[in-house]
Amino acid sequence: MVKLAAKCILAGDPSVGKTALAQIFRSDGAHFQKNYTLTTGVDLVVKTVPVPDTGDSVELFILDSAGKELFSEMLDKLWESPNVLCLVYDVTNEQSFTNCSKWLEKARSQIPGATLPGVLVGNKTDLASRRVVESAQTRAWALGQGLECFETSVVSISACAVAKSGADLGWKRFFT
Amino acid sequence: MRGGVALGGGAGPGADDLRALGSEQGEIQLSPSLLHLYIGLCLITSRSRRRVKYFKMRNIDVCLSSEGTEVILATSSDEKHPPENIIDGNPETFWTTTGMFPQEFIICFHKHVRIERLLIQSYFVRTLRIEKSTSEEPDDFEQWIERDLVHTEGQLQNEEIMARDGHATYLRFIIVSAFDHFASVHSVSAEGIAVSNLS
Repeated sequence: MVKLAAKCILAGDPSVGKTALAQIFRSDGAHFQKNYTLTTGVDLVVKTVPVPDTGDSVELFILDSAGKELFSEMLDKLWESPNVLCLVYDVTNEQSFTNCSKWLEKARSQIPGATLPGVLVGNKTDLASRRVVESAQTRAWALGQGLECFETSVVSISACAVAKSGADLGWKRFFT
Repeated sequence: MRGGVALGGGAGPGADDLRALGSEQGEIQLSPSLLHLYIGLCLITSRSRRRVKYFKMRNIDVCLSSEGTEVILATSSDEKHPPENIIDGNPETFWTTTGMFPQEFIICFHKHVRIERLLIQSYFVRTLRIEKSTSEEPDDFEQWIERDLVHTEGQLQNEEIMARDGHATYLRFIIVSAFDHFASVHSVSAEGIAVSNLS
């Protein structure tokens, strides 16, 4: 029985739903914030999740990071030596997906030489009619970057549970 | 640890000599007619006693659990790789960190020691800072040594440090950063002498 610790960077463009995802994850789906809050710098969300099929657990230090360019410089310091990455984009916003490669590069530059495992999460799938980013294209890109790929809608909790378990899976693979 | 092993080996022959002498003396008691030999051996015995004294003055590895040293704090706990592995004299066993940095452990000698040379065997450690204390309690640590280690692929990092002003009762090792998500410490040996016991 080991309690591991991991620093998880939660990154992506502004208003894609990073904070909402972090809060839903922290509260196991109980707390969905309806109002937009602008994250300045980072918000720290700490949650212990069990690693499936073992007695071990991981204490995740999730750095819910500001998406606004304004805080970019600040993030370099706060992101120092990350262990895992969670990239979020908005399926109704093409730009938010294209910028993922920028976010990924920024995160990976924090630990040159070591691998940074991560997941790519497409959020807001409930807005099906406004969807512009197709799963196939994101999947292909994620695969090429060695990321695991998920889609979810933070407003619908069941899909979120899927994303969460998927994320656990990714972390499990990293820690075993 | 290689230094530690050599030292342990160094102390061994001394003890073996004594044991050998003991058995020879036993034989002499069995054959008292060889009195002249016995007298001859007395000289050897006294000489070897001097040698034992000399050994006590020489450097030993003061950083071994068999010498009474303990690890009194470690910031990572994996029961499969406990911190005691650092001072068990075996570089095969190790203590591992369990995620994120910095990480640290504190070694308590339970006596005042003077360290001349440190040998640290580790893996994936990038920046190592060592602080020491001469207090009876593990406080008032002062910065002592800081090293940037070289990344060694597939083999242990062997960091040898010649120490200046090595008076200590406690050592605090801080792994500031690492080359990977986890790092391990296989052994720490400290060549030096025990100066005095804690009052």
